[in-house]
Amino acid sequence: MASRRLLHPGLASSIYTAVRYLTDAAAGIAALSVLASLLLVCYSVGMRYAFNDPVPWVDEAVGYVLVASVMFSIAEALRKGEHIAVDILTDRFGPRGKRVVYVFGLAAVIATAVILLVEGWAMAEFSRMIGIRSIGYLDIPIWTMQVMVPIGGLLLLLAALAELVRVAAALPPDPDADAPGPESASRPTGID
Amino acid sequence: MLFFIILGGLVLVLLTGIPVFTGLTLFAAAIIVGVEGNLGNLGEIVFGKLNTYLLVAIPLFTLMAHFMIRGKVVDDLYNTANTLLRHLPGGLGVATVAACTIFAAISGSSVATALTIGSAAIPQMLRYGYDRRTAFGVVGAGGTLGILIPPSAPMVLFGVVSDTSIGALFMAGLIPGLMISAIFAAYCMISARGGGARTLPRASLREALAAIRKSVWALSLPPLILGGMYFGFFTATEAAGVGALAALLIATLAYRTLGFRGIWESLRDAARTSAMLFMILIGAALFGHVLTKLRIPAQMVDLVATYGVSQVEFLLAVMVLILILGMFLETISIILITTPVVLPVLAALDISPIWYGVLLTINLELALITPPVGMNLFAIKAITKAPIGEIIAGILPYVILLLVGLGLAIAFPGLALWLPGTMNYS
Repeated sequence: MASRRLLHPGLASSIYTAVRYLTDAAAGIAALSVLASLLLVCYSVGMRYAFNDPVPWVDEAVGYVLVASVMFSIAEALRKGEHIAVDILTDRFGPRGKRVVYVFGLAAVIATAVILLVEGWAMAEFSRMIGIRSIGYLDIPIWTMQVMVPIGGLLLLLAALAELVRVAAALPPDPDADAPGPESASRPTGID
Repeated sequence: MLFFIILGGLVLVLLTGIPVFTGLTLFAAAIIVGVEGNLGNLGEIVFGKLNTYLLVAIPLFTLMAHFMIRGKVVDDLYNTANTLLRHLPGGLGVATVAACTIFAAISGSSVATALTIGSAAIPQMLRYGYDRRTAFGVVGAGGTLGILIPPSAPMVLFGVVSDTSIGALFMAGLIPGLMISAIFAAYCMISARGGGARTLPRASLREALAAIRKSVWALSLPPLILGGMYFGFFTATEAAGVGALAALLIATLAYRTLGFRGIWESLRDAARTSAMLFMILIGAALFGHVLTKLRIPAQMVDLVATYGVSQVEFLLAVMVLILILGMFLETISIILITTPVVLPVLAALDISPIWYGVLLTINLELALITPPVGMNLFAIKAITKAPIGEIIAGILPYVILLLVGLGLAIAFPGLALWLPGTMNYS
């Protein structure tokens, strides 16, 4: 797709690569979180049946692990162009129209990321300030878990900005991605 | 009326092509700011919604399916079904439906079912003289069983949002799922008469046993998961964990086809796929918060009471609305947007949420194969590169068959409610 470069490709490539490493590392943490939830759930079942010794804190811990897996994955999902969008109308647009729609979509992602960052930070800060602890067996300061929301927002913000930089410099899409950017077409996903 | 204005506004926002989770979040945030002057406790809604033990079933069931697919444990499913059923009229079509039914009990995803079974079934059907449209139709429609036959990611979401037992929902989907599977198979047999498709010779007993042996591990997983839940050994989340662990052991120890890299990629994929879904859940939770603030669910209940709407009238109206939404939105958004409004009315009219959950899921199966936004249509296109018009033409008879299935499930609530009624669920 021919498009005008608004940014120096070398600089843009460096920014994009740096963010890519960051989101990749975060996705690794998310994968470990899923592994942790698998092990915790199986440990709980095993203890209950093998040793007749239920582990009451597992349900609570698994909930927190889920927050981690989501918040550390959302930036990677954006980079891979996997967030679902309704492209029934926009699919009919030409290359220029698709580019505008894509940039508009990234702007919406940035706005959402800022909301997660600001509101998530305010929540965690408030909880830390008044010393709220988790309700349950773990009894930990709840802000240590809540802080994953603003971290996820920050990662998503960086990923969206890096994607904007990529489009502005007219760099090719990430080879690792399924079909990111304005080059994408309708495609099936794995959750429906 | 206000609900339909808000719903229309939301659909318009989503049609701009922005990611669904941002559309829902920003639309809801704008209304919250408009009504309350600030974003209130938005951070806590996000954290509280995600921090839910029951939701962990989704990444774990996804992980189970990834282990089975990456470990090639399910690769022989279609060949097994084919060997056992190929002698029937339209046998390859019947085998495709059977393979989709079994795969649906391993994967909670209709698209994954269509992609996995379709890659093996479509070339085989074309090789034996089946019409292209027939092949596309049966795979696309058979794939939709993925979300009705348990486990099912949409049912987990509905269960969490509506506070309904996920185990009971899973069990409720089983008989309607098998019924629709039988309807599809019967149609394959009837429509094959007089066509150009070849009927193959019946497999010998030895051949049949060898085919079953090849898929025995894949066939062993559904009884473990469903049996464990039915007999009360596991909750849905625990069944997902045990199923994922079993799939891991089968793929690494029995098949020896899944290495460290495959496990790692499966974990990453499961995390990312569920994150995508849960971000929509967050947006929908904010949207639900807006609806509650505006007292829309309560207004719906008043409206239904004022006009003396009956159970069936309400269900039919909701089903038509969901059918229309299904043409434009994907399944997850439909569940999450409509459930908060429908739920209080279900309670007011004494409609079982388990029954409704099954009706909703059958309707969402229709959404997967109705144009213009039918995810299974795109899945078939991804496999075959065929024109979308040809795929739609092939799938059209199955839209009617699914409507028949939906009608039967509405007319006979026992189809959904009998099995969960025999189990002890909370």
